[in-house]
Amino acid sequence: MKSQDIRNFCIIAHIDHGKSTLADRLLEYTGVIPEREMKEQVLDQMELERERGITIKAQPVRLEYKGYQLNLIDTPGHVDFSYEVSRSLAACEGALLVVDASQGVEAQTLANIYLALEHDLEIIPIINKVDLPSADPERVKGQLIDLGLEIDDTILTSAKEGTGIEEVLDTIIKKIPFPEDSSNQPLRALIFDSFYDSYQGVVAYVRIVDGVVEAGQKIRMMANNKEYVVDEVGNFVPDRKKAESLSAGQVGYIIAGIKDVKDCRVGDTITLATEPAAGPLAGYKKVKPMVYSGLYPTDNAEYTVLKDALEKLQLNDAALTFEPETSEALGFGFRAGFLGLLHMEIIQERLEREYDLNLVITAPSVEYSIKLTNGQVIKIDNPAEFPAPTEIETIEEPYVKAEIYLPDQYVGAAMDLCQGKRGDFQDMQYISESRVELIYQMPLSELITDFFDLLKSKTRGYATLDYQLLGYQPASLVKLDILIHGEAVDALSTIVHQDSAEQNGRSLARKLKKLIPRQMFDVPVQAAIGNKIITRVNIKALRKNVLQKCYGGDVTRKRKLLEKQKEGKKRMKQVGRVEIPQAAFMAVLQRDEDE
Amino acid sequence: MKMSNRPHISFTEPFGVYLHIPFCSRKCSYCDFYSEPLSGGIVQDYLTAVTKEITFYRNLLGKKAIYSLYIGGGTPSLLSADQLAGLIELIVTSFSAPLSGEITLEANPSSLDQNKLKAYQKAGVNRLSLGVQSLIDQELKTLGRLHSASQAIATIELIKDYFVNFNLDLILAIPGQTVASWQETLLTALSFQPPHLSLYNLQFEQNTLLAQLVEAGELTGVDDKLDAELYQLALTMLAQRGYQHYEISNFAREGAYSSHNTLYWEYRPYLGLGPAAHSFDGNRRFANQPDLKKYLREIARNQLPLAEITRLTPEEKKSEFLFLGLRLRQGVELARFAELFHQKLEDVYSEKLDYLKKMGLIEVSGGYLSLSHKGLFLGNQVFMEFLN
Repeated sequence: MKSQDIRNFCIIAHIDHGKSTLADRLLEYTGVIPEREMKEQVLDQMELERERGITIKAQPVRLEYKGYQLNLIDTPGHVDFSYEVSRSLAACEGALLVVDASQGVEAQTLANIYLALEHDLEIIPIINKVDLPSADPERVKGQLIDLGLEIDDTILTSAKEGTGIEEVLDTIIKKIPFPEDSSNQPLRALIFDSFYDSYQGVVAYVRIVDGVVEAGQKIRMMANNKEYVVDEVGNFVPDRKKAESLSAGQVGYIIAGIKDVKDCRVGDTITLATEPAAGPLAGYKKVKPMVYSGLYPTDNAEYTVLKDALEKLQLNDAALTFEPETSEALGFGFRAGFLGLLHMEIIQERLEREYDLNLVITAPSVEYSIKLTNGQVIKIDNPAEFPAPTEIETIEEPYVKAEIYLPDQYVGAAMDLCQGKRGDFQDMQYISESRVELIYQMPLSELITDFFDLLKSKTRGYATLDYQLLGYQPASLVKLDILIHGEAVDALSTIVHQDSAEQNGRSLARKLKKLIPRQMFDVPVQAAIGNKIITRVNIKALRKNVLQKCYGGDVTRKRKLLEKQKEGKKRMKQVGRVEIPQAAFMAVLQRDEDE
Repeated sequence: MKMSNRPHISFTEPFGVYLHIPFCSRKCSYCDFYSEPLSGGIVQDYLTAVTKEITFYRNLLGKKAIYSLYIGGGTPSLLSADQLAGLIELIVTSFSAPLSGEITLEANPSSLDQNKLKAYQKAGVNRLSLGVQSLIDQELKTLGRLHSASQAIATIELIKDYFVNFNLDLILAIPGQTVASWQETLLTALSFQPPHLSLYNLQFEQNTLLAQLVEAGELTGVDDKLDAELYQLALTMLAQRGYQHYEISNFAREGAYSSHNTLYWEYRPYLGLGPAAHSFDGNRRFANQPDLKKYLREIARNQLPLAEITRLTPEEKKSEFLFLGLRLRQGVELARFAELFHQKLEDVYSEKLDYLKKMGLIEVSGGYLSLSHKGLFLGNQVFMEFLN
């Protein structure tokens, strides 16, 4: 195939604006999937992806249309996976920018536009869901003009009803540049995702930038110089289909007996061992976890099940890290690192669903950099390991640039919230008549607690958020400990800012009082900083809990009621003499109604 | 009349018979038990159906001896005396007169009069269970009862002329109840020297009016601390007056234990008749269609109107034996457990028993395992431990 006949593109959109539905229609229209076999969100293969309506893995597919080969790369739709998105974009020459005709431009629309422009992509604006009564395409066009986009070729679609699809395909061919033909150069293939197949090992999803690759060749991963022999190359139609070779401009996969996704990192460049390229493609970085939390089985006997499950998930997820950890309160478990809160939630949910595990998950933490009085610098991501105050010289914590996009009437409320979360105001701009972009710098630790929930509630759900890591900044932090029934529970410790430590302690104790069910004795809950107790609440003993008569001998119902009570008990973790429910370990993330 | 289904059901010892009369003049606000508004035509359909059901069981089981007869509802006293007499007669001739001698009828103060009582007595009823619930008007109103306190008192006085053996049902932890109002109810009830008292905690069952009112914030449930104090007051007052506390919620003067209810707790068999009635034959639990229309339809098709039948696993049997038996103050007999299950209770549950003893919830003595005084208040914490 000549490179003039190839178009590589992706679809970018804010969550829920219709990206996956549009992809479905393109697949259907070009006959990749016959209509009768169509199910929703074809490219989202994980049950979780379909259920939540989000894309987690990048998923390429080749469409044949009017003699052209159109490679669609479906990208993850969440800020946690922004690096993966950027690599998918780097594999394309153009992007379909999908904007909801009623919602208009949102935070991730913006973030995606900037990203697409950074990668020099040709953007085709698509205003979707025009069938809705609340649709206002003219307003959305206005927003796009304000953003400096050309709107002459804007296409109006209703992916749901299948209108405008042909126009989209024609515009892709007309507007998106074909890839440069550099087949005669040494091989450079960009890995934009990978997948572990239990029979074939790692399947690398690649865009061939230069050169040609085929089975039997010896390849080299440029990040770690490991070498492999290619078993198979091919395309996605949408299932994998073997091909003779892949050449510059094409999108496809390479299988080369790679055993571990960690050796096939997103963003890395594959070249030939025999004739290596002079240098790798730009932009590779090893993604690092942003948030960490402890994962513990409620039943200690399930430790090995959890370990196996994490290992299996990691086969497909190089961004997931974990190492064994012990907690006095929770026993043996793991400290796992995630790209963000959504990534964390997804992993947790998959562990509980696919591996039937009952887990206690501790509140998420960021990685702190602490300079000790002896000059040593340590990194900690578990509050339990926080050194004694006397050993600490200085502490630094990660900061992010937070971009909040919202209707202007909520700006005040959002700014108040950011102030309360130690945010530093950077900028405020009107993006359109009544939509504002707020930019703050704030500690990541504040952002990963209840920030997003609060932001949503203070803006009636209208605000959207995007963030990127900036680096480390010094901060005055202390460790807040929680004592339950007189014993410090290490898994409940958090690191908080000195100025808000007391308030945090009181709020956390109150929340715990609500979350921990009454036991057969009084249970005091205390918050402490160092040796100083700052608050104490008391969970009163359970005084009466006994079922009444069984009407007419309905013992089965009685049993069911008891079983329900017991089920609740089973999901609790015994800490000392006290039974603590899973939710209590995440209490810090919950809203405090008394606030 | 031939049955078209013959489920595996068999009783190996005399069983209790529970007959459910599914009619009420009005639904009480706390009740989620099955009942239908009363209307003439449907009562006749019901009587025809339950007559057929009794005949089916007579054919399926043979003429077996029964241990007790309990007629509950609904509001059984809404049936005419003749209708009730006919049903009792049919049960006794199909099976036997109850070996324990006990025939109980549940009744409501609002649906009794002298003539009815006389006729019930003549029909063989020898124990009356009266749903008094409270003797405070405001509390009766909250419960949605049709009678007032003074009506209830008049009815108790009337009962005493015809029945030596009777029970009064009282409810504690009614929204708005205080220790003083509870004491007043208790003292008034005790002034009639009832041979038997059942004291039930009010439960907010799903889909009842009361539960909705609590959810809507219009009523507030009694907290468990007050609940415990109300219960403790009753325990002390009744002990002082010579009542034996023989089951978590039940109290009796010497000899006046309820034979029928004791079957449930002692893990002995019983047969339920009428819609929504539940049965246990020692190995299986089965239940009738909970809905009158479905019940009538199945019987019209000559089918036993079963909605479910479950054969219990050995584990389920053990746990049921324990959570039912532990409701009795004397507890469960270790020897009977060994006889029924060919295992020693102490071996099967050694860890659980240690834990519960340590928590001070159970006691083992004289060959019996029983709830401690503390365990009486926290029975569920104990029962749960014996579920798988």
